[in-house]
Amino acid sequence: MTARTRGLIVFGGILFVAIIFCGVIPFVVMPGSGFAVALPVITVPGEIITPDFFLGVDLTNTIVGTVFADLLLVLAIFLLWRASKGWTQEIPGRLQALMEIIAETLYNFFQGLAGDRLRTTPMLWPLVATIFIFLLTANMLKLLPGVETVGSMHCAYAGTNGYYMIDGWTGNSYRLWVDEPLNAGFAQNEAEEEACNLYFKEKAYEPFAIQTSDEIQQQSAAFAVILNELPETFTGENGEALEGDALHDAEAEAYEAALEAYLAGDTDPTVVEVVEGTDFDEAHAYIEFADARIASAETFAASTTRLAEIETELEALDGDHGGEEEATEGEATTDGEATSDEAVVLVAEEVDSDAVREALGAERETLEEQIGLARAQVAFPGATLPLSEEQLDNDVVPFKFHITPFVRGAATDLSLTFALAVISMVLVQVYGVMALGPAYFDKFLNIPALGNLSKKPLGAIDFVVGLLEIIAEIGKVVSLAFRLFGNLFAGGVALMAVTFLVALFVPIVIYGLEVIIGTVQALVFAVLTLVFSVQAMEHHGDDHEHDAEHH
Amino acid sequence: MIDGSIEVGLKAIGAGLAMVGAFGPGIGIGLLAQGAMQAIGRNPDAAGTIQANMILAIVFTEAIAIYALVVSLLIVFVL
Repeated sequence: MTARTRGLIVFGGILFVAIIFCGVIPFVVMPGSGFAVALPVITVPGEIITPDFFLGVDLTNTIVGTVFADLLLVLAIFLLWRASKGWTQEIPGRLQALMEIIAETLYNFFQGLAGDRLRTTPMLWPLVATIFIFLLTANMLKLLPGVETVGSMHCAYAGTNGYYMIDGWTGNSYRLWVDEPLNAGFAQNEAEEEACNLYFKEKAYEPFAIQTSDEIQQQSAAFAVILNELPETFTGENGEALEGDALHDAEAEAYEAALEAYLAGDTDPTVVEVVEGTDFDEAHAYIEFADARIASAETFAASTTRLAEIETELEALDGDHGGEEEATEGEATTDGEATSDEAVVLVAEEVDSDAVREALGAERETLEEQIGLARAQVAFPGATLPLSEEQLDNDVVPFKFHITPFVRGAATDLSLTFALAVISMVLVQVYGVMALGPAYFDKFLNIPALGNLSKKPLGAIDFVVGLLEIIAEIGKVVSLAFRLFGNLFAGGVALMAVTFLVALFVPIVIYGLEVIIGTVQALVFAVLTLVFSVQAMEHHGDDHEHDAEHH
Repeated sequence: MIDGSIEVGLKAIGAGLAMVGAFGPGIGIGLLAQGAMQAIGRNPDAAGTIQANMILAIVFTEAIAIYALVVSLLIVFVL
């Protein structure tokens, strides 16, 4: 076996695996079971989980991400601190050696940039190391599974896109139901959001059974009879009118009695089957939504009839057409001298039947959509997405939902990066003042240059340059903040987009890239803070006088 | 046949145009890397220092591309 054949076999294997995992599974198997990847709603500010959480501040998922990173660090510090009590022996243990290697590498790297100032300046090394380690933790946390994906399900907000929803595997949990690949979601508007909230948030009703309009009418009449039996007002033991929960309990109790009385009476067995075992709320909801459901059921019935008609018409048309074609061919072969008139008629007929078929096909498509929507609306009054029978069997909810993740990367929120940038630039000014005293501010407001104007008229330029330094300092804040935010946020968007396109294997590449970007950006933030600090500490005021002496 | 609102299209065009800002930094990073490579070629012993400084300078240059990226992200997701 030559190297080429072996290579071909390996290549074939790779190709096979690639087709299975990047083609068949994400585009056929996963959508088939409702597991295709949804495109998340991408928002720049952190998404609010709990409004008005603490002192009027909303709890956003980026805050949760930040707190998580902090907790992790505190935990690590606590454990290491406890372990480090034994780190006094001459030959270091493995953990100690590892920690020392990490700290030393970082220290040496920073020292290469800052020189002796790293050691002599108080708190400089702790500051930059903290920035680096915190950002590194936060950026790596962002890549953990479940972050930016697991969250609270809610109706898609108006103006965003949503998907079908289905119950999850455990009790009070849900997941999105995406049954076609590369489906970017369905646009939600305000009326639809309200309809969705009525079902999901306010729990105004449980999904109803699929029924015909007659059945609905019959049953709602039965429920109306039962509810009419209830007394007008409910009074407590002391004769006062009941309110709230007490009223509801009393009503429910009265309903039970009325229902029993009703069932004991002489009623239609089909009605009994449905009415039996219902409670007050169900009966109430049934009557409330009966009208809307009757209308939907009528649409459903009408559309189904029309669809059946179209199907037969289309079949008939296909039959005719097929026959004609054979006939034409037969004529053409047996009778080569077919008159041109005949041919023209045939062509005209064909065009005619094509147009009819197209029109019927278009109508069939709209009808199918109508039927799906009507079916959904019989089960869920006011449903906004069509339901196929298969989806109905799977208990798919035909409203538009999406997920707000519980945790999102800390640095994907501009608030954190901006705050961190402000802190580091303020500390840079502090270091500058500590090293140079009030003379530090000559960098911005160059008073000595103004004083030396008689000797060096060009000092005026220095003064203007100093003013520009102020802008540069603000620019540094913006630049630090946007660099970190931009890289991390864009990374998150890239991950979402690539996972949406090809669910398996391909995102691994982006994950690798994200690990590198997360590390480099954390390092860059720390390094820039260090470099700016060192620059601020350097003497600059009387450089020119020295220069003048030298030359 | 075009469907959907014209706003979305204009936003997309705007976001795309904003990314033209990546043009300059691209050239800049290329020049930086070229300079660093030449320097390492002439003085291989100084490779460590040159690399560290090169990365720092690249990050400064890249910041401008990131501004463009942020602007286009803001156009798409915030406006």
